Amino acid sequence: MNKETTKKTFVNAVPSQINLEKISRFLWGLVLLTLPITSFRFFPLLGKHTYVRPLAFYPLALLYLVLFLRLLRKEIKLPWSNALLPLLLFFIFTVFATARGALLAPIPLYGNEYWGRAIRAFITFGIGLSFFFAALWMHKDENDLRHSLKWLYAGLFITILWVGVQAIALHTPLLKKGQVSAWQELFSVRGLTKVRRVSGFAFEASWLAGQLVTLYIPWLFASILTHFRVTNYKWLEPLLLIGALASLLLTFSRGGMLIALVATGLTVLISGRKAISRGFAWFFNRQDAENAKKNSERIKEKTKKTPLSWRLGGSKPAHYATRALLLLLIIAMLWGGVTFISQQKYVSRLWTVEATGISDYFIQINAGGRLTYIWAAAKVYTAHPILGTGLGSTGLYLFQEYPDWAMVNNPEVARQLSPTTNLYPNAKNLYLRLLVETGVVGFFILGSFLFAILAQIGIALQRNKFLGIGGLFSFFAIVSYYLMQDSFAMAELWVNFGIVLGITEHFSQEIS
Amino acid sequence: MIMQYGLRTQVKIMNWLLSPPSKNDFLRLLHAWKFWLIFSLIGAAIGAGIYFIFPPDYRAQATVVVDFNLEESWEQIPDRELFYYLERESRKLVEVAWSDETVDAVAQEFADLTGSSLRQERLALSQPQDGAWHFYADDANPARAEKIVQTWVENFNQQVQDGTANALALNALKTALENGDVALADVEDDIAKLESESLGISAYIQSSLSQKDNLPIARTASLAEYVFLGATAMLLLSAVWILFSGKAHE
Repeated sequence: MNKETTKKTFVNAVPSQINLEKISRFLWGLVLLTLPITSFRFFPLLGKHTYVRPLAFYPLALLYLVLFLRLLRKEIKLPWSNALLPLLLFFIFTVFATARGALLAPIPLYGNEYWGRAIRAFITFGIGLSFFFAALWMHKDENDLRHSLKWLYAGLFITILWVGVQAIALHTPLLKKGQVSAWQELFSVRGLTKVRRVSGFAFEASWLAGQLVTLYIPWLFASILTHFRVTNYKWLEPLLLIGALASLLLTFSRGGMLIALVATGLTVLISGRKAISRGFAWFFNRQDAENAKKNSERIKEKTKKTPLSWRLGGSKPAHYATRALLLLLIIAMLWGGVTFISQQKYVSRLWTVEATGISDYFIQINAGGRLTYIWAAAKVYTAHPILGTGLGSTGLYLFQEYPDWAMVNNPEVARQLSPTTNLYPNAKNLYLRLLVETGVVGFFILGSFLFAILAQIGIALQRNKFLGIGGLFSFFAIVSYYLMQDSFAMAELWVNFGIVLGITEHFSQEIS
Repeated sequence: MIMQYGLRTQVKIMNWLLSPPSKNDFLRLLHAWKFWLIFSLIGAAIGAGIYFIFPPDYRAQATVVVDFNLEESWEQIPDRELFYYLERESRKLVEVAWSDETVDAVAQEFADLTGSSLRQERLALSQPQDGAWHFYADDANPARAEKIVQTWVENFNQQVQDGTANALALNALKTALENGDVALADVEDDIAKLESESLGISAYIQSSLSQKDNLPIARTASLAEYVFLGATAMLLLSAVWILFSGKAHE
């Protein structure tokens, strides 16, 4: 049997009346729906210390099977984006840097050998890329985006409900924490954490915060700014956004909240100024000169047609009441959120601690460990600046570079350095990890990939405001999130990029 | 004429530099599979050649068993955080391993080695673990690598045993003083001497040489790693050359 015959037999094994497109869309939907479960209990071949084990990987594997069948049937083509070349170059360079890192012959750490860590790092990189390519493949136009958003929102809705259950267990006597923790352990490798922070379906609270700010809030925020709605229910996105923000507050993730603020600020600054000024104009019944000229006739017409107009010019107390109610609601939400957060010692410690120096401050706000890893990683980088030490090898070099101040009053570091531990340390900062493992060359190649994505987001902003704003928010959130974590395996860091690149690639094709 | 030519070249260079990546670049790279396959093989051969011409050092590994005797020492420790105690004691022992007395003793055995060259280039200590501590020494000569690491672990072991004996004697004197068995004036000099020689380590620590003879010795990097590096280096260069050369955008 020759190769062509084998291929035909394989393709014909699936009856032609089965609509593989519908199946692939359904499987992609399942991928998005299950994304919140980051640490699924039933994952064969993974060690018990592997916590990144997304449930979404199962439907993703099936999705790839269906996509390859469709490819063989010539229903679809391989995915492509202009941003892929820097990524390919980064991959090739990383293989080279890893091969070269082996010649540095680092001493094994607690049984972790160089090549074991390298293979593990490439596998996690592969997991992240598999989500990225699937997202790229599954999006070519706004219909695909709408389809994805419906599933994403469904996943978010279930997450918010679960967060609510966790919050009741953690902050009220209505539910027992142990009971909710046991429910969570039915599907996750970890139940509720010891601290009073909700984690949703994720492994820990900061992971949930990361998902919210990098995956869900970008689209919800863009939908508010652009009035883009996925369904006929106009209230859905605002309601989900409020739920997502409340969940973010309940995680007490300082990094997550900071990222949300930074990404929101930058996105508004770049692309949301008009929407904000429109909002203010509506609120204060103020029209700027330009709009007044352009829209005066149209508004007059609308005012005639609509007795309950939104304009404040008339003597309609209902309109004043609406605005007053909205203002009160916003103030109440802000006040409530800030008050609630400032009551949590984990957060309020940021401004209440009395530290003797900068390192002491970080130790006292429970960030001593992070500062130690960053410090040590920077020192490792200075020893191997050009080509780095090889992918996955940071942990083999970190302990020797821990600063002296980190040894005092720093339980996280003391635990790691105790001979009874077998923890493999990491940099907890993707940029520093890349500098350490792939040197300055790899760092800048990946930087060029990120710039290529930003360029595509720029194209999206010109062609589809919603896609552009969602992409821009995701971009700022993800590049900020890289400052606080260093894993390639997290799906939420790849999916939105894949969505934006997939659709913008088809914009380019339409133009050409 | 020359100025026009220069301007055109400048424009060409700028166009090339600022051109976005395209599918053509990618296809060009994929189409060149024969090219980079052959060059990967050449790279692998070059890697193997370098391995034989400039072989990497040998690395010998010795093992010392370190026991903190937690069951006995725990009662004496006011600090209720076990990991703090273990981390602190481990760090003290690591300092003993890298101390002047321990490392200089190795340097004295080998005329061409100094304390600083040993610390920076030849010796390595694995992260302290519960039980076995691994010590490594690198050298171009396998027998010499073995000898260096043997000398190092013997000195370390001796230092630790002296230190624990010292701490034990100091504890015994203090207990005798507390019980009134001896007068301070009688033992003041002894205490001062013991304290001056103290390594600050716990009296409960025990260490013993686990692997000292016929040590495991291997190259710091294998032939396979050199071959792989050569192949990937050539693959990278080929990819860069193909992507950055040619007329992909035409």
